[in-house]
Amino acid sequence: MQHLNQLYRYASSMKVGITLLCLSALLAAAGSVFYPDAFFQTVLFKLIFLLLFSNMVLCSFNQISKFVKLRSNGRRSKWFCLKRISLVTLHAGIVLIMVGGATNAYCSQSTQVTVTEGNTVDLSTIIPSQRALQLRLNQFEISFYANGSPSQYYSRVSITDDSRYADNYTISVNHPLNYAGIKIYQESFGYMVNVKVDSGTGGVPGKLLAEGQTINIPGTDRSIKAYKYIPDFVPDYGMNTRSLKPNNPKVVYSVYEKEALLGIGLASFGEKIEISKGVYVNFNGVTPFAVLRIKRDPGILIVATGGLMLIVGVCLSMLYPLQKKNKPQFAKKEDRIYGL
Amino acid sequence: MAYSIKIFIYFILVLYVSASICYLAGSKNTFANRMALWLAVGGFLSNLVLLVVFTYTGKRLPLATGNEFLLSFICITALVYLIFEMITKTNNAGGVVMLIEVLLLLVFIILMPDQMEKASPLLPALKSHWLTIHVLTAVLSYSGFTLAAGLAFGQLRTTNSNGEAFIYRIVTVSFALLSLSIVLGAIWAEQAWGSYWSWDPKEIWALITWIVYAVYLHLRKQREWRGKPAIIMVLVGFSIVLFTFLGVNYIMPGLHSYAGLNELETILII
Repeated sequence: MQHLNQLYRYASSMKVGITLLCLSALLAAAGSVFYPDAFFQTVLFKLIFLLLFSNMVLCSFNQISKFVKLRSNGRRSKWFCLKRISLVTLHAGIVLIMVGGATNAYCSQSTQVTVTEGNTVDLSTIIPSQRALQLRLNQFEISFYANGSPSQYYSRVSITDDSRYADNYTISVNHPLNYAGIKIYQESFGYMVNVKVDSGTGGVPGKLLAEGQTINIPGTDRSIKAYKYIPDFVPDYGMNTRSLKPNNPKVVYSVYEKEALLGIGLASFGEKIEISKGVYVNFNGVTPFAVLRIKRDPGILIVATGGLMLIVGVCLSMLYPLQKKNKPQFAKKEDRIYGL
Repeated sequence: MAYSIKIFIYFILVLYVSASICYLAGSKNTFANRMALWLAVGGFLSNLVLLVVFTYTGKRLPLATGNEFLLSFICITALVYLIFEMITKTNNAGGVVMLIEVLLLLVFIILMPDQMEKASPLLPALKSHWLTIHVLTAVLSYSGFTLAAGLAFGQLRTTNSNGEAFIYRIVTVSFALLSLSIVLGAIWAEQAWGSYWSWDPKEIWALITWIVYAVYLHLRKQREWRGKPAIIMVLVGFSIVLFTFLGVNYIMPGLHSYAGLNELETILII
């Protein structure tokens, strides 16, 4: 029993807490330099996190019991209460942030989906849900500043919930959509190039190609790759676009014969490219797609509560050093000299 | 416009350099101390004018990009120091604080020469009120840590418990602001990127800074840690603050590093 008591005291001590904090800071510093992507998934880091968490829980518990004990002994000064409450709130806030973080790491679901304009994705297959949720991307739009740089990216979507038509929503950067506990973020975007092949014996229906995708030309052993879409082509910028505005849209393509490169070219929309005798290909515009992040995080509320408690605790603890006995004394008027 | 702003920045540098020299030289000289104070006030006011120009031309608070953060940081540090000097009537931190101001301004001039005159439009991810208060609290906390480091540097030569108590109070307030900044930054990251914590280098080093000062606040309560050890911890903390702000931005690219990316690359981090 005595050993257990000693162990408890040791595990909940500030010394151990500080040692673990220093260790986690050192490991985080080393991890950020040597293994920036993998370090925070390692067993070592998780172990330190767990030990720190245990120490914080025990420390918070000690703080609360100390507070209750001293209050029942009659020590009820305003500053005493404020100090204890601030410390308990602050430490409990950190504990909650750690709980929320762990919940996020083990229970949250987060997936990136790509939706082409006019297409629908079934959200309930991405994030298992009791409700059938269908998200349709009605329009993807970019707004611009006067200098041509993008000011915002908008995905205009509609969600069908259990076969019932729901309202239309707009998702943009910094303004995610929160629907039935699922959050949808505007993460990125791109374009599919519309390719049409005309072999002379009747056109082949148009096909959407992603950048880097290849289409075989029927009746030949040749293929064409839509290498890159450049919305605002200017020769000085090479393969880069001057802006995202479609001022001078071009498609960089490459033609292959049995996987051997025949040539590379640059085409405007509607321009006929002769692939072989009597066989033509043209690019008929682009269809934008939005890259959305679909996320459900059951730990977010816990983290938010912890963050709030941390802030409240820290602000309250700031008031504590203002009490008279802790106040550093300013120099008396007659003693005030520069260059102390 | 660009040329006149460059000249104005060099003018601010001269004011801060002169203030630093006067503070360092005039420990017992009343005239030098008065000069130092007026030069520091001049540096601060000129710095403020520059920020007002940036605000007017950019039609937003200059807190979004690295150069804007640095200029605001220098300005608020000068203000925080001047308030401290006015209240306490002591200027023992003046030389070091102004020297730090000079070094930061030199960083701005040397590392960000092409960003001097620009108040570029904001990337979509940066268009958030959370960003404004996140950066503002970060600037305020960094300024507090700078003042604490300036005082700590002065304390290395003399052991004055009153001075150390000041450092403790300043670090307490700055620590609270840093905590607020980290929490606000997490809220913004959640809104912008869908993740409140991504183990991004800036986040990791902000956490390390927070841990170092948290350890200082805990240890300072122990009698054996008061005095020199506590002062050294404040200086270590400040060196980490500088690394978090400057080192991470230039050595470790991540979500917080927008510099050097072209428009298409920034799409990846919208």
